Parts: sequence; C-alpha cells; structure tokens
Amino acid sequence: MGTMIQYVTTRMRSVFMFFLFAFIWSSLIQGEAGLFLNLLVGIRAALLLYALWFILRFVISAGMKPGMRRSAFNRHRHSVPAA
Amino acid sequence: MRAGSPLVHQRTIADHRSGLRAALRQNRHPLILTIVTSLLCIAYVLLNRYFSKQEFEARTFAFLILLALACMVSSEIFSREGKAILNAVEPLHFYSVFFAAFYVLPFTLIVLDPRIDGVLYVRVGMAILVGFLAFQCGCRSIKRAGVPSVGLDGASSWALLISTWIAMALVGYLYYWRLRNGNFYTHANSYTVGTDTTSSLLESFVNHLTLPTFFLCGLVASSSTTAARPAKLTIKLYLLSTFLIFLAASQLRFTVTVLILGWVALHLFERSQIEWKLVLHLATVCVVAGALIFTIRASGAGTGLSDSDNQLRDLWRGVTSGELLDTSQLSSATTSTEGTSTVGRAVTPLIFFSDVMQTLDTPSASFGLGDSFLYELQEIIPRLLWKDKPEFLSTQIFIRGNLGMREVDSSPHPLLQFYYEFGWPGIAAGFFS
Repeated sequence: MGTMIQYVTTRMRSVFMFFLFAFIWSSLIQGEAGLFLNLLVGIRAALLLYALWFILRFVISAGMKPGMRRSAFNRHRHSVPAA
Repeated sequence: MRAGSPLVHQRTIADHRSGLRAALRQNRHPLILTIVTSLLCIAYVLLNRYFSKQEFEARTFAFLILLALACMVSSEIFSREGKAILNAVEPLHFYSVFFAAFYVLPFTLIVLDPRIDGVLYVRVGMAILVGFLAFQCGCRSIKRAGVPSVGLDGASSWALLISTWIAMALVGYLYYWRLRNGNFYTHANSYTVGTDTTSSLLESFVNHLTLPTFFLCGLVASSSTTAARPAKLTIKLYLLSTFLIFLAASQLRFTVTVLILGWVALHLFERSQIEWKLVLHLATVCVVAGALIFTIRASGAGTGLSDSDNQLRDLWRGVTSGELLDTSQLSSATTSTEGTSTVGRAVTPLIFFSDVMQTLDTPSASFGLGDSFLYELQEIIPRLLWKDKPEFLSTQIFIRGNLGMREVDSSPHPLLQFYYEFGWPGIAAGFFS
C-alpha cells in the first residue's frame, strides 16, 4: 500500500496518473468490503471515467477556436509584460 | 501611564502568559515526559483496579504498544507548529489520519474499556504497529523529486469538470434508485447486490465514483483555468449534498470521509495545515453526526423503515415528530459496546480480527494463501461480459465461511485480510507494497 500510493503520487504528472491517484486513495481510505476488491473495481472505474474525459476533451477541443485552447495560466505566461 | 491602569495590568498578564508559553516551549521534553508518565500512572491504577491479573498484564503491555503507536501516528498527523497536516499528495501524513481513525482509536477503546474482554490485546496491537511501520517504510522507499503537479489547459479542465458532473449525477441517481427500491436507509433491510446488470452497474461502478470525484473536482479547482471557480462551487455543493445523503442513509464512515475529502479537494497541492479551531469544528460535527445516526438507529429506524415506500420521507417525519429520535437512547446508542452502538461499531472490526487470529491458531484452520484475492479477481468481470455470473459473497462472509465462524456484520479491513491470507509476513508485505 505504501509503495503503491507513494509511486503514484511521485509520478503524478499527467491526468491519467491523477485518475489513478484519486481512485487508489479512495479505495485505501474506504477500508470496507475488501481492499483488493475496492482497488480492482476502483481502477476499472478510473479507466472508464478517463475514457469519458478523453472523449469530452476531444469534443471540446474540436469545438474551441484555436486561440481559446490555451489556459489562463498559459495566456499569462505568453503575454508581453507591460513596459 | 500610571502603573495601576488597566492597560498596564493587561500587558503584565500578556507578558506573563507569553513568558509561560516560552518556558513551556523551551522545556518541551520534560513536559511531554511528565504527561506521558502521568498517563501511564493513571492507566496503571485503572487497569489494576478493573482487571484480573492475567488481563491486567496483557492490557498493560497492550497499553504500552498503544502509547508508542499514538506517538508515531500523531507525529505524522501534526506538524512541529502543532497544526494538523491534511494533504493527499503526502501519503505518510494523509493515511495516518485514517490509520488513527480505523485502528488506533478503536484499539484504545478495546484496551481501556473493561466491558470488552477476551481480545488478543498484545497481538492485535503488534499487528497495528507492524502495519503502520510497514506503510511508513513503503512510503519512504521511493524518493520524491519536487512537488507533483498536473498541467491542465482550458479544454482538459472543462472536460474534467463535465466528467465529474456526470459522475455526481450518477451518484445522485444511485441513491434515488436505492430509495425507490427500499434500500436507501442502510440498516432497514438486509441488502445483497442483485444479479441483474442495472444493480451490478450501479453498486459496483457508480458507488465507487462517490469519493474520487472530490479529488478530480479538486484538480480542476486548483488549476488556473476558467473552470476553477465553478469547480470550487461544485465541490461545496457536492460536499453538502453527499454529507446530508450519508447522514440520512445512516453511514457514519462515509459522512466523516466526505467532510475530510471536501476540505482536501478545496486545498489540493497546498501545504495544508489546519488550525486547531477547524480541527475542533470538524471533530464536533463528526461527533454530533455520530450521535444523531446512532440515536436514530437505536430508536428503531431499521424496523420502522423496512416496509416504507419512501424511506427518506418517513425518516424525516419520524425524526421531526421525535418517534425516530428517542433522546433517552442517546447514551446507550453511543457508548454501549453492543454491535449497534457507535463504540460497538468502532471496535467490532478489530474484535473480528482478534477472532480470526484465534481461529487461525487452531490446527484445523489454515491461512487463505491468496484465495480471497483470487475470488475478488473473478468478481470484477462485468455482468455485461459474463452472462451467467453467479452471486458473489462479500469478502467478510467469504473469510468467515472459510474459517467456519458465525456471521456477524463487520468490515474486513486490510489488516485482517492480509493476516488471513499470509499471517504476519502478509501484514508487513501488504502494507509495505
């Protein structure tokens, strides 16, 4: 349990790893109905919800104008500082 | 300014207090030593007074283990400044909170309560200690390089927010479906998940979306995109609605968990340290929720709502009229050691663990060697793919059945399952890995 959650936390650089992080944590802290079952069912649910997110992101990206795809954070980084 | 003026007097008291605080800080170790020694003395007197010689020895040793455990767990939960650390991206601190709630607190009740006897105090305490140390070693075996961060752009964050809205709607539908089928109030009917695809999908898939949704929404809320503000509002609304649903459904553990996760989701990726005031507020809400849930349960809500066609409506009517909120039951509903009370429900999993240890000591019983894991592996195959999938037993009933123990409702926590499968190496390897 310790190595697994620490590994996921350390490698958390993508949305997929964050999905795993969220569902593994939830399985560990529920503590009922069997840890292994909770983990397996949780990871299965994570994969399905990730697939939904992937499709939604594709649809939203396709519907957005090119200039709108950048996040507020990126806009801020790429903006020209005032003189 | 005159020496006798109220301002000077206040300053003198303030100086005196800060001086006292500084002195306490400087002499922190003797102070802690004094508190620990006093606790030991009090426990010694109490244990000596209430228990027989054999029980006294076992409980005293268990109390020493408990003290060591409490020191280790609390040093992970509280920072040097004395504030509580609640940060999901720091597993060592975060899991310690749940470790304290699931194991250390119930073990304290078992060791100190004279009404609970016949438990393998020392072995249960040692198992908790081994589990905690193994988890710590596991966490420390991997070094972290920098603070984890997930970059979200506008499309990704909105897609994630919409995904969480869909997940929340599904969770809402699950509880509506349970209400329609008379299974909303958890303790009204003996409930087993049906073998049809709908109930399997809702109970095995949707039910597992409840808690992770907090984290996913928290990721959007911590981003710097336009979706951050609606995500924060969503977390607050979801927290309120799930808190009320779990309160009404008589699920204390979930009620407390959503409170913690709601706060965590709003402060994801921050070095979150909670002030004492907030810890006290959260603890008060949890205690009140526990008292309410168990008083309603002791007032006969289980039998009263078993035939109801709308359990939520009838529960509300029963509570407001006082019929399902018999305050004379408050004391027994919370402090009794019966399986239906707050204390009873808290200690039952560890008593179940002790029973499993005792059963495995007999020559006729043997360790599972992974059989419950293999059983659970089959269980996750969806009914959509496996048409003739049989009805699966819950893990606790499976373990009880294999060991020939009588059936009592108590959760099979990781400690128990690892011990049932591989004994002491199982606990160490399971919590480490």
